[in-house]
Amino acid sequence: MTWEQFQQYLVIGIQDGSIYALIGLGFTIIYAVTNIINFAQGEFVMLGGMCSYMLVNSVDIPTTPTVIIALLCAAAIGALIHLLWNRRMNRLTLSLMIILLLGSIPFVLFLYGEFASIELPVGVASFLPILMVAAVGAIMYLLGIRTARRPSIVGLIIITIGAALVIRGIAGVFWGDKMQRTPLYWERQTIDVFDATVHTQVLWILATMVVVAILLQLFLSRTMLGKSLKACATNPIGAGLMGINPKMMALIAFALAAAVGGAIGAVMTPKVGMTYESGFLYGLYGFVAASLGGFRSPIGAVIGGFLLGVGRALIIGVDWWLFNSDYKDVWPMVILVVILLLRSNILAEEERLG
Amino acid sequence: MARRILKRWRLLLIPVVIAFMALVPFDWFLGQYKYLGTVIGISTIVTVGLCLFMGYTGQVSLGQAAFYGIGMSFSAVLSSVHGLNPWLAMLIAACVTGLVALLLGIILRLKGNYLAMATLAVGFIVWKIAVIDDMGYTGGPDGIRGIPYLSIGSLEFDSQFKRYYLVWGFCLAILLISQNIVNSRIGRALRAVHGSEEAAESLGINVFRFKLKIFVVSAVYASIAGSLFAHHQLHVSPGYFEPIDSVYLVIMAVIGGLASIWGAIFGAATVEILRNEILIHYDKWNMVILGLILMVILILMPEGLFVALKKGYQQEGVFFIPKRIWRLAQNYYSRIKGFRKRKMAQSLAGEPEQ
Repeated sequence: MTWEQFQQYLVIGIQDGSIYALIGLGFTIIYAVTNIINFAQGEFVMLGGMCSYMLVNSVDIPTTPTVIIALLCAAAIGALIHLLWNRRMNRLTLSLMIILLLGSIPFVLFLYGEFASIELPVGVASFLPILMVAAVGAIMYLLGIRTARRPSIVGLIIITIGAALVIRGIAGVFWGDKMQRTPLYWERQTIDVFDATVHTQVLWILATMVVVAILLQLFLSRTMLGKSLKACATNPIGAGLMGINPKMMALIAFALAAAVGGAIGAVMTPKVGMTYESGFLYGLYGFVAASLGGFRSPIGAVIGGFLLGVGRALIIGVDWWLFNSDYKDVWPMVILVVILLLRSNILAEEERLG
Repeated sequence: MARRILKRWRLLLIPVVIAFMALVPFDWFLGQYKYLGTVIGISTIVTVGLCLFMGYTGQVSLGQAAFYGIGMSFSAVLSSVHGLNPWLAMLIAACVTGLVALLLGIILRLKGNYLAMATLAVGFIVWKIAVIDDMGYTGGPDGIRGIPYLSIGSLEFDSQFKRYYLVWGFCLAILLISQNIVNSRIGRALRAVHGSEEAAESLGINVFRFKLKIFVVSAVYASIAGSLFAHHQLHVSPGYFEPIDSVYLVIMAVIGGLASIWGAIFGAATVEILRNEILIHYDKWNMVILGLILMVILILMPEGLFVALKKGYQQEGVFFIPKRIWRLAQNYYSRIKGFRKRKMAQSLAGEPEQ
């Protein structure tokens, strides 16, 4: 591998690394707060990409009755959940419900299917999916995990797997087998950095990763809500005694993780494309990233993601013995199993305490 | 009186079911479904192993299809390329799979979430290696053809009719063996492990060894099923043991009831009928429906559909489902009413909101 090639592979590594880092971040958020590994995390990424595709291509500024019906449907969903949940309205619930409503509107519109075909610019189409996927995450938590009776860890895992299957299946029905792409954000395709040719979308992916990670860090360390989340992650019972509602925090964790997944999904789609099945592999990689970072620390997940991405790109580059592009998907899994085994004592201890 | 009649009914039920199963492949009965019946039998064998491992021991495996695949591939390669006797090939495949499971047994030190991820990774690795196929051994994604039929002396299992009985013979034997395992000292030890590993350990049960034993047993079951499938389909390829197939196997086990040996037939039948008959042209809807079934069962009746139906029938008779729905509705109505009353009382009394 020459120096130029090395740089080129490094660029690929950084691109993949940012993607894996954000997916791993989603894993750690949910895992830290609820002790559940969310097998649907990869599907959130896929959904983010697919939603942005849907918004760019056939949306869908609808006629007046559609808007009304959609709003009514969304309001009904929100009211139903609220009624089932049987709790008083405070500012947090209100804002969550607003997110739910806003996010579910495009889906309802899509289902209703009365579209005037006006296309959204790709910039707007990349922000809306964040809300939409957050709504999906919140609904998944409320309907799937929150309602479970006498849940065991295995039961909760299998519920998230079921949710992943449902999301994947519905995406397949909506958007078909084809690989879908959205247009690039910039007209210009590539720029040269040192000796490497860098796709402009890679810069966007990297920027998204950095911005999301910083925002998340600020959210967790500066705001009251973020601090409550952290408190819940360290000790749910203690946090409950201090007046924090762990179940509400779990809901927020799910919505947040889904939003992070949706964001990266929307940004990466112009570069790598998205099929309804690609969520599975991204989920696995995100988990590897989270496990490299030790499952509970967001920064660890980011570093783990970059290690994984760069390592995987270099495996493709090395092309020696079993380290070649055929085995690029196998090595991360081997590493995952090895890490889990090496940490098995610590993990068992954590699971016993948590 | 009614109870006694019901008991006699149940005694009558067993021969009726056996007669039904035995008559399925005849043309004047359900002849066109004999292929489906064979596939159900094969799936049942894998599912029983999974029930032993997941339901009785309380572990989780999302990589069971890997063992199915190892058995299938070894059987196919040994009997077609090397011209070994199919029975010998089957035996060797089972031994190899058992050995692999024994070596992989080290991942049983993990629990819950991590075990799920590790087994998923193992399933993925095995499938990917079979797809890559560096050595040109398993035929890559296209797979192997030219596998001979199984035969005893001059009786060759060359027709669907004969293979149906062969597979169900194996299936029955394995069900009986599993029944014996569950009702023996080992079975009681496993249930103790499920209840609490620490408690089991303190009673002098070597937890790890019991988990390992049952893991190997379930792997060998899967391998036998894989070999039967290879000699039944005469074509094997990695497409038959993709990672998603492990999830389908879990769904079968869950529908049948994780801790129920005979429920496995019910679970396998439900999933296979759904996949191969009802939704054969709608593979995405298939995913959605199976995912929904999985979620609903785990949310509402974690012990499994089969077991829940049996219990409901025993407690409240034939019409237990409408009865329960009615009670649920009443319950919900009174809850809303109570909620409103409480609010009114609060506002009348001028109590401060909590």
